[in-house]
Formats: sequence, structure tokens, C-alpha cells
Amino acid sequence: MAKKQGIVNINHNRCKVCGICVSVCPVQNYKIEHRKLREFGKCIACLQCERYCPDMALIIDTKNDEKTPTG
Amino acid sequence: MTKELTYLNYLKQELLPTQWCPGCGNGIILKIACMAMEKLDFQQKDTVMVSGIGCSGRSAGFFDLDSVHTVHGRALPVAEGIKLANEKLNVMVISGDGDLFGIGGNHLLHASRRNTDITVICISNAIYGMTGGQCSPTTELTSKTLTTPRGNVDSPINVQALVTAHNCFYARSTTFHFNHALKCVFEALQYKGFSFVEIKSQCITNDGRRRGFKNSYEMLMSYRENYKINNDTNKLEHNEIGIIR
Amino acid sequence: MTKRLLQGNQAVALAAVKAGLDFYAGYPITPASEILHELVNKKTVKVLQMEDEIASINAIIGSSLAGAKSMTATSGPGFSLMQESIGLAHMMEIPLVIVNVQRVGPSTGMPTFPAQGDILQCKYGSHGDYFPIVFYPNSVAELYEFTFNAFNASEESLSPVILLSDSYVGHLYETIEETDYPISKRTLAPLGTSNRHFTGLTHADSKPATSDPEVHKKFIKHLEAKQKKVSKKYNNYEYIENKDSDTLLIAYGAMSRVAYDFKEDFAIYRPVRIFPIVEKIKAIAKKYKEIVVMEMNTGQYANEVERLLHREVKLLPILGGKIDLKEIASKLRRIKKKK
Repeated sequence: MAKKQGIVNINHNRCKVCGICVSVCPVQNYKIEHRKLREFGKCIACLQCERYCPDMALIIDTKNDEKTPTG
Repeated sequence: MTKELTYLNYLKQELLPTQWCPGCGNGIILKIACMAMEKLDFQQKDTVMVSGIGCSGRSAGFFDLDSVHTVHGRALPVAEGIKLANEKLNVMVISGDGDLFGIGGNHLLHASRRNTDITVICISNAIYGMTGGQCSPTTELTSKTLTTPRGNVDSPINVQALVTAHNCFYARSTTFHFNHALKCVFEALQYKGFSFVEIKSQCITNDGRRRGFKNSYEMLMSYRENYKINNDTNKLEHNEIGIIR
Repeated sequence: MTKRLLQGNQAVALAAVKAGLDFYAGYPITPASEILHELVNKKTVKVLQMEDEIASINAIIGSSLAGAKSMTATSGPGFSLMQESIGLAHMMEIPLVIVNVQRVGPSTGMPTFPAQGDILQCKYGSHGDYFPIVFYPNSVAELYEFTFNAFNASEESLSPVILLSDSYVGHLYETIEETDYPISKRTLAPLGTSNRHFTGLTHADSKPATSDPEVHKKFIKHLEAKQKKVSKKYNNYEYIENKDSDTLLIAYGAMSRVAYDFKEDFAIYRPVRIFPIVEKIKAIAKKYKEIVVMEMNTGQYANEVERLLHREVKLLPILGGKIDLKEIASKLRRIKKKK
């Protein structure tokens, strides 16, 4: 099981619910529910969603976890 | 404390969200431009953004710089005028394929001939998105659009040949190849002379939808399948992305 | 002060340099090319020969935004190509000078006989409402003087100012005195000093505002008020009173030089700032029973005058670039007899 390493900040004012992050996430952390983006706390801080989000709505904070290197 | 995406300081963040459709690639390219500018430490006081008309034409207004939103197709002569009047400025153009190759095609030809030191980022989505999805100069052969319901019969414009004919910097990338696109823009900004970066971008609302894509992610994935990176060449094949100096 | 024999177009180029011209972009076109030829030899001016007139005007829009005093020169066909961007310059409020040395049109017409067919194009050529300041001198000395005025008016009004000429006045050689007229300073901060957004969209506080009609109304009102205010400084006209005549002959540019020959029989009024129309014409016209406008088109200015005065104005169109004094005299006689 993937270890939780990232904290997802969704800026709902900017999010247009395009769903790119839902598809791009390798651990299926996102889901669209009632036309709103939801995340499930499974983030591994790969930053793929932060990078591909066209609306600058996602910011991923990386947790300090000394056991697993993050980047 | 939430980390700050410092490159977003190049944008007027109070104007976000953008008025572009959900899933539009323009936002990704805006981000790429900001990241490249941050890497080079461009300052507000010596950078100018110019754009033409269309969805991508609205890009310039989002930058926290002096920016110019010109008439359709004329971003290049305006940028040339700015650069020649004040050579200290970094002049960047962000515009679309219809703007740069269609109505402004003549200016591209001559701007590259004059080799003015400006950087052009072309958001090439192969469609006239703002007007509803008409065929554009970069629309692929047989591709279906509003004005080519039985498939496009004309082959797309060969921008690479146009720009490299005058020995200018040409790079091609896609919104999927994020790091590669960033590298292209980064190198283009450092290039002394006319530099042109064509970034293939997705328009799901007025293009992908008609071509059978379900969402913009599928379009991004199609770039992954259709384009291979090749940075060591003098001529890019139609399915290659890379940099030609 | 030195006296020099100069061609009209050369005088424009010389005056532009003295008025502080920094940047010129243009495309060759007879009868305006001499301005380009003259400027390429000036060390203080950056000159760019563009691929067409559209590129020329856009390049000077860019250079003017970047802080350079900018100008372009063209003739009718090129002026038509520039129209869209002239609208842009009004919308963005950019100081520019556009010289239009007119020739016979429409289209390629009769290259390069003189004509005055671009009068309404100056005012209504681009789509939407804008209120240009247009000067039309009739001699080399005046071309020299009004090039300064055009630059000053453009800086004061932050708008493109049009200096009209025609292939007759533009190619005329006359002796002029090289005077240094006062120069207005640039008020628009150059690019690279702030985070302004210059756009052709309706805007407020450098942000696009494309859905609020009130913003647009306010903006158009602002444009009109601004142009009116600045143009008050340039109420240039010439009036030759004739108490023995009941007819006012209105002519401008090349045709006004012909009109001087009839000052025995007519009072003569010559507008130099042709747009916005100098209000003085209302008072002057009251003194005369008849008004005749003599121009090298089919009544472009006559209609504008008629609209302003709310009374009938007679036309004397001189077409095809041929100015025949005998013919004009007989036509004027006929107009006088008819009443």
C-alpha cells in the first residue's frame, strides 16, 4: 500500500472539474462527486496533478517522511 | 503552511480562474511559461508579453507584466516594434496557431527572416476554438471539424520548414511532455534571435469532442502515444518532438 | 533660421525628426515613399521596412508602447489596410502619427494622380466609434508645421493622429523656413514599468470588461471628450472674407490652392484641422447665402459640413486627378448662376 506522503490542497474557486487529475493520478486519489473534486488522502506526492492541472487549482504539500525519499 | 507555487507570481492570480473551458491546455502552457521565466529570473520591469486573438490571445492579460493584446494575427509585428524600440526588454509572444500561421502567416515568414530577438510560444491546438471549432492551418489531414465535416482535405502547414528555413530556433513539444515543453521554452528564451516553440495543446470542447475523445486526459494520452522525443536532429518527423537550433 | 527648398514629403520627414521621431516603420508606396527614403538616412531614427502596411502600423503600435515616438506614412491602398489597427490604437490609447499622401482610388485607381478620397476613411475607416484628429495642410511650409502639431496632438490625446496630404502637395517643392516648434512630452509610461494590460477589448482599469455596456458607454464618452479637449488647441483654419460675395467656397489641401484664384468672386474657407470639424465654420457660414465645397471626391467633406450646418451645401467634385482652372471657373460660374 502506498504510504501517505502528500497533502492535497484543492482551490475550489479555481477548479473547473475537468478531471485531468482524476485520470492522471497513479493512486486514484481523486474522484468527482456532485460536480466537485474530492480527494481521499492517498497522495504519494508525485506532483503529476499539480503539474497537469490547467487551472493552477492544486498545490501538493510534501510531508517530511525520512524513510521514503520524496521529490 | 501550504507551500507557495512561486512561479505563479508571474500571473495576476486575482484573475484566476481563467475563462477557458475545463481541461483546456492553455493553462498548462501558461504555467510552463511562468516556470521558464522563473528559472531565468525574468523581472517584471524588463519583460513584455504580447498575444494575438483567440482563446490563447487572452493569455497575455493573465501575466503580472506589461502586456499587449493585439488585433488578430498581428502579435509578431507588435512584438518586433517593441523589441526594436527598446532592446533591453525580453519580448515574448503567446498566441495560437490560427493567429500565427493563418491570418498572421506573412508576419511569421518575415519576422523569422528579420531574426528579431523575440520568443514565440505557439499554442497549437489545430482548431479555431473560440469561434466554435473550424478547421485551422494545423488541422491534420482527414480530421473532422465544423468546416470539414467529411475530413480535412488540406495538409497542415509545415511550420518547422518555415522557421528553420531562416535558420531560427524551432522547437516542438506537447502539453503532455511537460518537462520537455519547459526545456523548449527555457532554451528558446535564452536563444539570441527569433525563437519559435510550437506546443501541441488539447481543445476538448471544440475539437476533441468531434474527433471521438471523451475528455482532455485522453487527448493528453494521445500525445504520449503519437509523439516521440528526438532532440538530436535537424529535421523533426511529423511524429517527433524536439529542438532544432 | 535657415531657408531650404524642400519637397512636401521631405518636409514631413524633416519635421518628424525635429519633433523627436524615434521609430518609423513603413512599406513603399508612391506617392509617400520619399518620407521613407528621407528617414533611412537619419541617424536618430530607427527605420524598419516591413512586409506590408498592416505590419507597419502594428510595429509602430509596439514601438510607441515601448516609449518611442513613432510614425508611418502611406497612401490610400495602404491606409485601407491599416484601418483595423488604427481602431486598436484608439482603443489602447496609443500616440501615433500616420501620414496619408492620397492618390486616386478606389483600389489601385490612377497611380499616382492626386485625390482627396480618403477624407471619410480617416473618420470612419475602422469599425466602431472613435474620434480622430486629422490635419490637412496645403503647402510645404504647412506640412512642416503640422507634422509638429500632429506629434503634439497625438501625445496630448494619446491617440493616432492623421496627417493628410495628397500627391500634389506631397510632391510640391517650395522654400520653407526651418523653424523649431515646441514639442509636447510623452505622458504614457513605456512598457516594462508596470503590470498594465493593453487590449483592444473594451476594458476598465486595464482589465477586459466585455459584458458591461455601461463600461463601454463610459469608455466611448471618454474618448470623445478627450479628443474634443485636445483638438481645441488646434483650431486651425484659414478664412478669406469677401464682403462683395454671397457665396462661401470651402476647399482644403491641393484644391484650396486652386480656390485662391477665385478670391475675387468668393469668400474662401479652408479647414486645416478637418476632423473634428472646426466649430468656427458655423459662424462663418451664417454670413453667406450659398456654400460650395470644392474637393477631389464626390462630396465626402461636403456631406459632413452639410450635416453640421443643417443646410444645403453645393458640390463641386474634381475627379480623376486633373485640375483644370478653366473648367473649374466655368463650373463655379454655373453654380453661381443657378441660384
